[in-house]
Amino acid sequence: MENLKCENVKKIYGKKEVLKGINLELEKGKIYGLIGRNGAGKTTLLSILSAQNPASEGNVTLDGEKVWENQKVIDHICFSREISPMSGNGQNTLRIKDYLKAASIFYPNWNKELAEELVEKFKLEKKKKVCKLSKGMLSMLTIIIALASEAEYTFLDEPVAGLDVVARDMFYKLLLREYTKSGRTFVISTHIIEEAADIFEEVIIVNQGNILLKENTQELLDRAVHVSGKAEDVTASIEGLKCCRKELIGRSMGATVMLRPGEKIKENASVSVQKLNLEKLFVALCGEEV
Amino acid sequence: MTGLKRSIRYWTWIDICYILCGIGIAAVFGVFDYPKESGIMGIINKFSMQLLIMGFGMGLLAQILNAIYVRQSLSMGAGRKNCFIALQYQNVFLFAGFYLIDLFLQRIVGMALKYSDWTVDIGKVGLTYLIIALITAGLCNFIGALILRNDRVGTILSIIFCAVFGGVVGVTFALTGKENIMGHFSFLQGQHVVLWILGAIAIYGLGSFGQYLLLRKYEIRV
Repeated sequence: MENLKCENVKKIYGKKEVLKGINLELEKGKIYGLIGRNGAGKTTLLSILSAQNPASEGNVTLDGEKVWENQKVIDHICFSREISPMSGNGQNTLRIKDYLKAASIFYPNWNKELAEELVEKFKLEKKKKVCKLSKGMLSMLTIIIALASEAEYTFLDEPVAGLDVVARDMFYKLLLREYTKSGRTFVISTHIIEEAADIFEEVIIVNQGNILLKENTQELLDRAVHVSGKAEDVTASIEGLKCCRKELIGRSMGATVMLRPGEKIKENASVSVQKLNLEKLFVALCGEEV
Repeated sequence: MTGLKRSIRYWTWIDICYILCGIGIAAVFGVFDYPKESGIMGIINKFSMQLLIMGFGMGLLAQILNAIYVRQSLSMGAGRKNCFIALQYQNVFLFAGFYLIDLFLQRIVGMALKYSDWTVDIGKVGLTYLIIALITAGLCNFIGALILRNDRVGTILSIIFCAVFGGVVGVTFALTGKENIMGHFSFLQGQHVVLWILGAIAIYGLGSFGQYLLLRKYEIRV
């Protein structure tokens, strides 16, 4: 299997353009972190990449073959969506075992033993109705479906939402175990950025329907710095550099700078230069002035 | 296994649940609402007649309740075309399933019990059943897809449809007062039978086409 590519993908709902010409290539055997603010278009992008929803414009291909309505290609992709306890105007009365049974029918590489193991690990009762599950339990079910699908491209949308710290830790370990064993490609959309940053080989930041950046996580963090000090000193230090965000607090200034190869902050004893973590970098890139 | 085979397998599983549910309801009617003087024969006869109603009832109900299963199958990688074909298969499975179970009850069990006065056959009654099934399924295909696209509007429409459908059928039954359910629809077996068949096929075709159009553009949301 080659890379999953999307070219100039647009998604328009009514008058709103949710995705504005996305170009993206997902390489095989990597864990991607997909981060973005609420409504940035993460779920829409994943649903188009997995052929669950059609794009308004553009193409998604795997191995050069279009993904949309192409079962041969779709068989390599699993997008384990958030499961809703509501269905239409009523409650979702399906049980956990119904979801697992449906998944075992639709995913050609379904690993029943792994699914059983995870159900036990997460202490889920298979006969329990989905409408009776807590937010964390719903997340556990989506994780089980994603991991046991053994699809080469597996997408998880907010898999840790509602999970307690122990369950989140278990998820990250299970994910790494599965990744090491199979070399599958995972794309994980999450708002709990810092916790998951270590497992992301690459990070994709979506902002207002565009891909803001797609880069190796470590390389990105190595070149992102926060410079603070007196406004005039900071301005002098970062002159000519790519500044993503400036914050003025009285006479002080904080600036987030993305260094390009060979660049460095001009030495100035009165400014403080600090490395950024992924969460702070994300806020600097996508945050708005209050 | 191809995508279509997987969709068929999934919907077969769902349909078996519907059939078991229909058999359960028909059995309750058979046991509690049969002519007391006719004994076990009465129960079986009533049960078998209820099964025919269940054929329509479950066929109708299935399309209305299907939204959750359609969402589930599409979100697990089923293609739109495969899903559409599987939904037509569901109609055949449910309507034919109930009819065949009924036929089995009335013919085989009836023969075994030396009771030959029952009315279900593969001739006129079968034809009447087919015409009603095509009309019901065609309309329900469209309503089911409307519910899928817009839960609230679809549900209101389906309630209106069920109320009108139930009202018309109920009043017809009450006015004609016939014991045999299929007897109420004997007008379908008259000289215009070919027109009825063509009309029913047209309604089914239109309903299914509408369903396909709605399903093709359907957006899966949480």
